[in-house]
Order: sequence, then structure tokens, then C-alpha cells
Amino acid sequence: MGTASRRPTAGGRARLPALLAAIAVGAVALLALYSPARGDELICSAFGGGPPYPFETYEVTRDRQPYLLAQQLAAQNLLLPHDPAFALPEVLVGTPSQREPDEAALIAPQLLHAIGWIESGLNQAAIQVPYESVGDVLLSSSCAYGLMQVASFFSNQGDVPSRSETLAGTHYAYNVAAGARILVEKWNADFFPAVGRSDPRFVESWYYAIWAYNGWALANHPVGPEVDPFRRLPYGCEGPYNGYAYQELVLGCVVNPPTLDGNRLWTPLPVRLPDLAKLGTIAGPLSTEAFFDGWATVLSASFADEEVARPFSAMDMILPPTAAIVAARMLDPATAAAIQAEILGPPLLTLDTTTFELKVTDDAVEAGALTIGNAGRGILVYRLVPQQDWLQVSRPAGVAIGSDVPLKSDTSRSATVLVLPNAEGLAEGLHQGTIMVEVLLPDGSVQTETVAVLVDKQGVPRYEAGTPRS
Amino acid sequence: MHIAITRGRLLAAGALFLALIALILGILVPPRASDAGAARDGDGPRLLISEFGHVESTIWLVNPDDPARRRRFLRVEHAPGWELAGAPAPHGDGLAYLVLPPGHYDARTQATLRFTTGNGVRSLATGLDLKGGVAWSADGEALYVRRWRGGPSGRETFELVAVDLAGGEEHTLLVRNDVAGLYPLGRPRNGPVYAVVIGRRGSELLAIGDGAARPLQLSSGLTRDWRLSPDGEHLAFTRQHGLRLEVRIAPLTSGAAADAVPAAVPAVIAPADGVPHDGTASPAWRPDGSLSVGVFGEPDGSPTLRVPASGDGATLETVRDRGFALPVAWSPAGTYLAVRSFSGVGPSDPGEETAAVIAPDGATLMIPGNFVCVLGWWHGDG
Repeated sequence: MGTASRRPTAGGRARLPALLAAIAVGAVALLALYSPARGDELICSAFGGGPPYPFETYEVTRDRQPYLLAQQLAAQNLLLPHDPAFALPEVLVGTPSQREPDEAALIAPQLLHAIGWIESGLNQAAIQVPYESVGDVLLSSSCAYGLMQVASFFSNQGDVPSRSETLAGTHYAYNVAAGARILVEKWNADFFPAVGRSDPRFVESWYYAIWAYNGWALANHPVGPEVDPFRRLPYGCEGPYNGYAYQELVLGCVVNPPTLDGNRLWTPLPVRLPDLAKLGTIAGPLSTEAFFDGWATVLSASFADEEVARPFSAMDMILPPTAAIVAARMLDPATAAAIQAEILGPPLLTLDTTTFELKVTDDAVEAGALTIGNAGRGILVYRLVPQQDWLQVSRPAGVAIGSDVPLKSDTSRSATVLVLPNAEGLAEGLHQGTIMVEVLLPDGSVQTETVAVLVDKQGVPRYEAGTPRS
Repeated sequence: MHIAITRGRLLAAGALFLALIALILGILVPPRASDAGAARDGDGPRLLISEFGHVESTIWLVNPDDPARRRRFLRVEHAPGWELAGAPAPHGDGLAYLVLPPGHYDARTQATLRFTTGNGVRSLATGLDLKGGVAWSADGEALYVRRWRGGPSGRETFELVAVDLAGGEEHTLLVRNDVAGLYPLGRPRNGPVYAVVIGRRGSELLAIGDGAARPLQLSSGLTRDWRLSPDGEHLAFTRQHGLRLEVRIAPLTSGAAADAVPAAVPAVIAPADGVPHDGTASPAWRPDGSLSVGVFGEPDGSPTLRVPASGDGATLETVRDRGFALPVAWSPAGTYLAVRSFSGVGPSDPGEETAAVIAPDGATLMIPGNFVCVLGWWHGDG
């Protein structure tokens, strides 16, 4: 199985700078050119209630190696260990009543690989973005972003995205880290049932955490109505997803990794799935009755404004008898550090801070083109914060690509963003505004530059000599 | 040596030569799936199948007498991994299908409903739930699909949406946020729209008409494989407890919304005494109003059953010497039965799955291809 032909060749983006230059030097830019990149009609009802953020991101090489390496690091908490928003939480280990944080406890990298594969086919950018190019982030209609289809990180309020939102929406490494973090949060939550002694070294122990990653819904119940009772297990990672529970798809791809050009994308791990014939019977932990009873407890408690401890404890199950600890291949610290440096850079901002001078009339608006470059390495993540309500940017955040990152030859390494004054309501005369350009650096710091914008709002002549209009 | 060549000998040699060529071609070209135009429309019923590919599926028209002979009907690009969900029109002259288009990854909110007669494809509605499937009205004028609105945990919102085939207008018939699943079943002629909702109270059949949804309790637990009888008077379904499956029939009396109350407790379908089995599943109505039911659990092969609509007096319909078969759909005249054929014993060990046709003589004819899904029957008499 592969996705060799899913992306078009590069080309569209290469024409953009020329177009923007024409706009910048031309007399007029139509407001119609300003439109969020995508999702402009989408409302994120489950996460925030506003529109999604139109992030721009980088899509790696077709072999997905940068994604797989980032997942390997994230599984060991070696990707962003010092970033409080993206470090892996400590994994709780032990029986349900006595779970304790265990610094040594980690995720098998194959779990992150397989989740990424099922969620996005291991793609950070939207399908129209070619490999080794820059373009819109992959966005689902339920407002899940990127490679790991992260949803709960994002507030989608129509506001300026936060630091963590910007990073997870623009840079694959942060998206991977966010996905890993969410998986561990599901693992640690008392809300969900446990498998055995919650020992993360058994891949089978992650069954409920993986289910919860996609949604703690009946649709993922292994004996529920949307799962085919006659499906073949484990999932072979090459047939249709239809008819399988989400966690079965993920664990199936852990056992049977997908291939690209005849090569497996990762090393397989053996997994024993729950015996549904025994555990799915009435009063069994995988009966739908236990699932519904848990929800009934949750909902009755929420009506009474109470918190309930372990509402799905009836779904706790033992490890499959033949499950075994499989030592996942771990990277040594030096190798991990080298990979981390390759993924994260450091980038170095280049920015022309010359003041924009833009003319605006009631009929036309002149736009400026802000170019953000990266003279360093890795992927530079920028965020733009207009300081006046009447200033708009065509994209709130995106990336500029360092010289060491593979990029199609006809694709620009710099990002170009339109700056547009919102003429409506603006009084005639000169107006000065600023746009803060923030670079979110891998060490957690923020580099800030300011670009001034001078807008000359001109009235439309009411009449010309000899030809009164009114 | 001199050999006289007569005209008769020349003709005989020519015929022999042609026969030899035909024989060689017959050996070199084995009977296999082909685009050879074998399944011309109008030659009888054709089975519509979908053959899954990771990013593109192919829909074929298959000759039920020789499933290796098939003609390509349509290619459908889709999001990686997600097979389309299709249903042929009641008259067999069109195909409605839900597909998750390329570039989308959320099967619950991004599926598109399309319709084709084989001549172009129309998009009818977007933002749908692929997992809810698609159902028809018996007159072929409307389609029923599900929209999933997400929502707070445990309070997901499902909508039952009717889509007018001619104009594509959508009508939301029902909104529920107190259930865990909602499944459109369709609308019989002169009957209400039927749907099933599943939640903690079990499975309820809803008869929707005149602005009201009247419930009929099907089971205190899960149900699946819901099939309305051709006359709209009965509903066959599978009751599920874990991997224990059991087909039942519920009478719907007149089928009108006001009368959609149980006339009797749903009858349990079981093989005649002496036929060992672990369970029954996947009912399929015959055009004559009887029912075919799959049986599983017998290591030496499980039969399918034929059951009258009353549910009483099940008889053996087909017998297998290994594996089991789950009925999917009868051809329009009840001549051929499309099935999912398994080499194993039951849901805990299904073995290899193959799509197949059971011919009038009882022979099981396997349909070649990988990940083949039977969609239903194309027009023609059977």
C-alpha cells in the first residue's frame, strides 16, 4: 500500500510571489484577493465555535522519514522535552486504584506511527500540497489539524492563535508532540477503563487510550453496530477501514505496517487483541451494556454537577493471556539529539521592516506583501499579530523553510503574506499601524519584530471639473 | 513424395488450424476478470460490486453466471482507506453512494452523497456520515442518510436527512442527541420513513411521518442488518450480544406511521431441529416475500435458511461442505443470491472472506478480486 500519486507536482505556489509583487507595485489590489486559505465557511462547533485557523505548513518528503523520526523522538519524550506545552506527560503506571507517574514509562513509537497513518496517511498538509512543499495544513471538517489530526489543542475563536496552536498547526514536529501528549492524557485519565496493571510496555494496554484518541463513542465499540462482526482480525493495514473499530485499525497497522515502494514504513510489533467472544458477552467488560452504563453514570453525575470516579470501571479488562512485553527500539541520546537538531533547526528570521505605504479609497484597497524568510536551518514558525483592528493579514501563521530542508526547486523558501487595511470605517487621512511579526523559536523563546504600515485613506472625488455627479 | 491437395483437404486443414489457434488462445488466456464487455446491459441481472483500492475503488457489473466476466461501471477516487458505501436504486437503474472524497480524512463529517446511472455522476449532498450508510425510498425518489454533528462527550447529535433525488433538496427529518447511533432504513411504498436508533434503552425502530416519530422497541440490546420486506410489512434484523447473533422478524402491520406498533414480539429465526449452529445473521428478502438467513458455527460447513415472513418453518436453502455464507441481496426475480462467503466457522474465526453468487443450482460462484464488496443488483430480469 502506498500513496505515491496522491499529490500533484509543485507549481502553484511558485507563481504566488510574482502575483503578490504585481499587487504590491500596482496601484490597486482588490479586496477579493484577500481570503483565508481554506475553511472559510467552516465552523468548529465542537472546538471553539469559530472558524478554523488558516495555517500554512510544510509537507515533508514522500518517504515520510521526518514524520517517523519525529514520532520516534516524541514516543521517548526526546522531541520537545523542555517545552511545557509539548513535552510528554509522565505516564501513570499501576493498578487502577494505585497509579503512579513513572518517568521511565514511554510509548511504543509504532503506536504513534500507526495513529498518524490512520488519521492522515502520514500527511501534515492538505492533499493539494505537493511533497517537499508549503501549503495549507490538513484540516478535517471537525477542525482536526495536521498529521495527528489534533483537535482539542485548538480554540478556533476567530482570534489570533496562541503559541501552542500556532506551532501544532504549522510545524509537523509540534503536531506529532501534541498527538503523543493527547494519547498519554487519554492513558492517564481515570475517566477511561484500564487494561491490566496499566503497564505501557504491553502494546495491548493502550487499547482504550487509542479508542479514546479517536472518540469515546459507540462507533468504536468492537461489538457495536458500526463494526462488522465478521471482519478479519488483526486488520491487515491494506483493506478498507470500514467495519473496524478505530483501535483495531491502529493496532492492525502496528502488526502489519503499510509499505511504500515495497518497504515497510516501520518495524512491526506483535499485538494480541481482546477475545471478543469472551469479553463481549453480557456483563463482560467489552459488552455494550458496560459502555452504556458508564455513560449513564457520567451523564447523571453531570446533571447533578458531580464528578464521578472511574465511570467505566466495569470495562477494565485483563491483558490477553499471550500478551508479552516487547522492547521497542529506543534511540541513544546522541542520535536523538542529532535528529532533534535536524528537525528543529535553529531557524533565523529575515524580514524587510521597511514601512508599508498603502493607499485606500472607498473603491479600492492597496495591499502590501510581507515576506518572511529563514536564513537558518529547519522550519521557521511565524505568527502575525496586527496591532490595530483595521489591519488584516491573509494568514495568521505559517512557515519559512531553511536551506537544509528539502524543497521543490520551484517553491519559495520564504513565506509571503498579504497586508490589507480594512478601509470600511476608516476616516480619511493618514493612519499608522503596526504588525508584530513573532518567530516561535524551538527553545521556547519568541523573537519579535515590528513592521509599520502607513495607510493613506483618500476620499473619492465627489465630482470632476465640469461633470458634477450629484 | 507427392501429395495431392484437394479443396476438401484444404478446408479441413484450415478448420484444424483455426481450432488449434482457438485452443491455444483458450489455454493462454485463462477465464479471469476482464473488461471484455461480457456483461452487456439487458442480458439479465448484473451484480454491482465495488473492488477497493487504497485511494480509488472500481465498481464493476458482474455476470452472475460467470463472475469472472465483468464490465467496469465506474471508478471512484476516495480518501485513503475509506471504501464507498453504496445502494442501487430500487428499480436497479441507478446507484447512490456515499464517499469520502480525496483530501478528506473525517469519515463522520465529510462524506458526499452521489448518484449515477452510469452516465455521469451527480453530487447530491455533502458533510455526511459515511458510517451511517444510504437508504432509498421504494419509489426511488428520495434517499436517506445520516449527518453527525458531534457535540459534548456522550451527547452526540445525529440527524436523519432526506435528499430529493430529482432536485437534491435536503430535509432534516429527525434530530436526536440522546442516542449513540442512528441508522436510516428507507421508506416502503405508501409507508413512513424508517430509521433505527440505538442507545442505553436498546434498539428502537422509528416510523417517521406526519411530523412525528413513533417508536417500536426492537430489542433491549443492539441490533444490526435491518432489512425492510418488499411489501413494507416486516422488518428483519440481527440481534447482537457480543459475538452472539440471531436473526429476528418484526411485523409492522400496515406499515403506516400510526400503526407502527409491534403486532407481536419479534420472532426468532432458527434452523430446524437437528441443525447445529452458533447463530444466524444477515437476512435478505426474496422478491416472493420469504427470507434468506445465514447460519454459522458448524465446522463442516453451515447452510443458509429459507424462512417465510411469519418466521415459522425455516428450511434449508443451500448447503455447504465448508465455511458459511451471509446473504446480501437476491436478484430482482429471485434467481441468484449474492453472499459474503467465509472459509471459517463464525465471527470469532471468520477465515478468508470472498464475495460470491449462489446460482440456481446451488453452486457457489466466487467473484474474483481483492476486498470486493457487493452493492446490489443492476436492472434486468433474473
